[in-house]
Amino acid sequence: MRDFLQTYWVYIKTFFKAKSQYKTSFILGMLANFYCYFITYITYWVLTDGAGEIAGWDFPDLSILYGLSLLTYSISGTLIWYTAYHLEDLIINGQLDVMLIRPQGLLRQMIFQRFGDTFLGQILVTVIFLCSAFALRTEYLTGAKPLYLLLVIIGGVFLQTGSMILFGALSFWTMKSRELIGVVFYDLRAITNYPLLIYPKAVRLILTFVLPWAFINYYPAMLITGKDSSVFERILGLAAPLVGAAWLLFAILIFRMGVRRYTGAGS
Amino acid sequence: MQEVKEYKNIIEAQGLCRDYSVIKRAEGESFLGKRVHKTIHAVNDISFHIQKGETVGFIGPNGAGKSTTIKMLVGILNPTGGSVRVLGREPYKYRKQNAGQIGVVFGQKSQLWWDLPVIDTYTLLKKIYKIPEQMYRENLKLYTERLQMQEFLQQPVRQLSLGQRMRAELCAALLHNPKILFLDEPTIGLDIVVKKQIREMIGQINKEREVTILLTTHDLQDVEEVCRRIILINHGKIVVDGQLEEVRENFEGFHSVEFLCKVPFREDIVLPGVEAWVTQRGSFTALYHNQRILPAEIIETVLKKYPVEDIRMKEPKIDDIVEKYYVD
Repeated sequence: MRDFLQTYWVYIKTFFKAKSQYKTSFILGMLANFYCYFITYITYWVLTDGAGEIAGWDFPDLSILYGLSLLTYSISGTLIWYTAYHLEDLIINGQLDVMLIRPQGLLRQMIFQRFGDTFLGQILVTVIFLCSAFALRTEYLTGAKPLYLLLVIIGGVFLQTGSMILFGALSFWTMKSRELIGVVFYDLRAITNYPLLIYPKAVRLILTFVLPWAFINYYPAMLITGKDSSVFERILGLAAPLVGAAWLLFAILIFRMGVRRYTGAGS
Repeated sequence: MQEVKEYKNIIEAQGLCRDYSVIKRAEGESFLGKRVHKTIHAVNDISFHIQKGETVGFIGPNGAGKSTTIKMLVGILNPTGGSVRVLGREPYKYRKQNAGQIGVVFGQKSQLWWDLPVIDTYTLLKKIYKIPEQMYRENLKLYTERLQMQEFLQQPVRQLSLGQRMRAELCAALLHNPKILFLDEPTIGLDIVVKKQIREMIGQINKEREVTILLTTHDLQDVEEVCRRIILINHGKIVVDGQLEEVRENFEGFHSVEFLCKVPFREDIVLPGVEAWVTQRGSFTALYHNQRILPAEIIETVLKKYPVEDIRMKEPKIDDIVEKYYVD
């Protein structure tokens, strides 16, 4: 792990050194991302009319709900989004072969290869709104809740990273994985930007037991804001970090199967 | 450093096979039509052994199975049959361990970071291969001097010419002192000066460091200058495997001796072993089988009948040999 972080640090430094040649594009990219997600928060403000609620969730609550999703997504994004999303291209242009002749794990190299700098703007905007929300609702951070929040963020990063790896790995089987990612990951996950109570029950079940996106933010935010109404919901909330770890492991397994298929051992 | 295992051959392939399954749809069939699987034998039962310090040219027409074989040797591809061992290990099972011991240059793919100055890629490679500081500095100094890279070491890779980039690629593959160097078409698209530089460099590291060289190329000049042994592959099988000199000597036909002579050839010489006489303006040429007749005998006979001014002997060029096998 120490070796991993040290190496990653060298890569990040090198990456920013290279990026410094395109300062304007870097700053504009940050601003564009910041602006884009800032608008989403403004939408919540408008929808709740400042002081109103959606299904019992007011603006600070919604900021936490959405913030957990966006924060974990953008942290994962800095790690692996670029190479996972473009794995198809890496296969086609032979860059994957180059990675395979290096004495390093493939996933490790995918993390190293490209630092997702554009996600920094999203991290910034979401940290601002999360901090303001918790500043307004200090009761959300009493007792063991800060620790729970930390675990939930780690679990969320696992879930998001796992999903990126999983959908990237589809490129080993089909060369047209991006459309699928668009629907299954982005569109379905966007549902969790709002309290799941406003949707039919089937949606909640799917996002819990089939594609566990609700564990990224919905159940944890429920626990943090004290909206859990049953033991079942509390269990789901507490299980979120574990679900994250399991999902990541599952994704790594599928990814390895994909690599074996690519090298020809699996098919 | 001590070797973990003892092995006689640095590379061993025994009955190596690699099949691909491709899906074929019958002509005019719809999207849902019946799919027929067809198996292609890209590499079909090949065996060879390579010892430490050998320089081997892997040649063959496009689609012969060269790249597939190389991919199996470097651990990117699993064999579907037979066995392969590199430095005593199966490369596909021990990909990472194998990768640390070999260097690979792909003429068509880059292992340099596009936006980074060349030197930064090397810093990263130092980290990836865990190269000790001193070894890294020595190698960097040695190779950048020999390949005359100082002038562009600080430039981003995207600004380099192809020749500069290939030199940088070669250096990148050598920094961690690999025991085997795989070069897949390293001179493709390069000008004559850079080609020469790269060939010399490969020759030097083979001599000085006993690095085993495996080279695939379509430029047979590469083979003539770098390799002592050739393995010729066609249709996934080894057609020729031997020392370059022996292959050349045993090759029948296409040896020739040309006589410069003002008197035109009258077709009055018939010798067993001489296949044909080719008449040009001011000269004529005997094409002969070197196993059936000695050139001295032809020369002696011709000199008796013609006022010859000069004689030129031509050995078969490796191109001729290769062409013969490619067509077959």
